[in-house]
Amino acid sequence: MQKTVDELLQSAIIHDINGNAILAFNGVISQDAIVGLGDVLRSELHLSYPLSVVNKIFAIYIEMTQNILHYSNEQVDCNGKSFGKGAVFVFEIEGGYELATVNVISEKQHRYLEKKCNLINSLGKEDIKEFYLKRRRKIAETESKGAGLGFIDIVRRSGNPVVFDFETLEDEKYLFYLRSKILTE
Amino acid sequence: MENISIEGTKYTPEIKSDIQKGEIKFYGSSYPENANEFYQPVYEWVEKFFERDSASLVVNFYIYYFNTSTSKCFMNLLEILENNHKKGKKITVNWHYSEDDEDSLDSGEKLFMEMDLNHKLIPVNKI
Repeated sequence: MQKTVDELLQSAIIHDINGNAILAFNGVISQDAIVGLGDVLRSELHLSYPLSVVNKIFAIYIEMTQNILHYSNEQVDCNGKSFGKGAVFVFEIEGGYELATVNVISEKQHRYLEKKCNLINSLGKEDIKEFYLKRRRKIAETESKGAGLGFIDIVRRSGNPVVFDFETLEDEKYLFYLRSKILTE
Repeated sequence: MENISIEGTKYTPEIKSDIQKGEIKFYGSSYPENANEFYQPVYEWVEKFFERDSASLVVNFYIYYFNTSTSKCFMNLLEILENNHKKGKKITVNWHYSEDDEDSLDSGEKLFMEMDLNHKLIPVNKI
C-alpha cells in the first residue's frame, strides 16, 4: 500500500471514527503478525472487560485480519508462502471499540464486496444469524477458504452493520476500507 | 493404526487420541492460516479409526475460540461422525464451553443443529 499510517488515519472514513487509536499497523499481515497483534489486543482488553467481551472483539479482529491475509490484492512471498498486505486499526470509542482495516482489492473483488456488504447490512439481527448458518452449511461442502462467511460473522457478532468505502487507485485497483463497531455496554 | 498427536499453538488446538480408550480430544484455540490443511489429518484419522468393526469413540472438544474457517472444518468432522453413527458406530461428542462466555455456548450449540449425533454441552468454569 502506498499510503502511510498517518495518511490512512487522515482519510475521510477512518478520520470519521471518533476515538483514540490503541493499535495501528500497516504492512505484511502474516499469520505471525495477526497472532502477535492479537495478543497485544487481548491483553489490553482483559484489563477492562470480561472474557465474553474480549472474545467477541478478538473474533471480529481475526476475521478482518485473516481476510487481508488471504484476499488482499497485494501479496508478498516469503519462504514459499504468500501473505497479504494491508492495515489494521483499533479505536477506543465512546461505549466500546471500533475496528478498521484497509487493503488493496481488484475490480472483481470490488464488485463482490460491494454486493456482499450491502446484503449483510440489509439483514436484521435474527435474519443474519440464520443467513450465517445457512451459508456455512452450504460452503462446508466446498473447498473455498471461507467465501464471505467471515463478513457475515463480523456483522453477526458485532450486532452493527459494517461501514465500508472504496477508493479508486490506478490499474483498476481499489482501496477497500472496512469498519466494525462493537458496543460493550 | 497410530494415535494422532498434535501439539497446540496459540492458534491451533492440541489434538490427542487414545485408541485404547476410544477417545479424541481437542484443546485450545483454533484460527489457523489454512484450516482445511490443518484438519485434513484429523479427518483421515477418524475415518481410519472407524474401519475397525467394534470401534466406539468419545470426542471431547475444549475449544474456547474458533474462527469461521475452522467452524467449516468442524462441520465436516461432525458430518464424518454422523455418517459413522448412521452405520451403527457408537459415538458421543462432548462440547465443553466456557461458563463466562455466552457466545461460546451458542457457537457450540449451532454446530450440532440438524446433526444426528449423540452430544452433550458441558459448562466449564475456566477453559
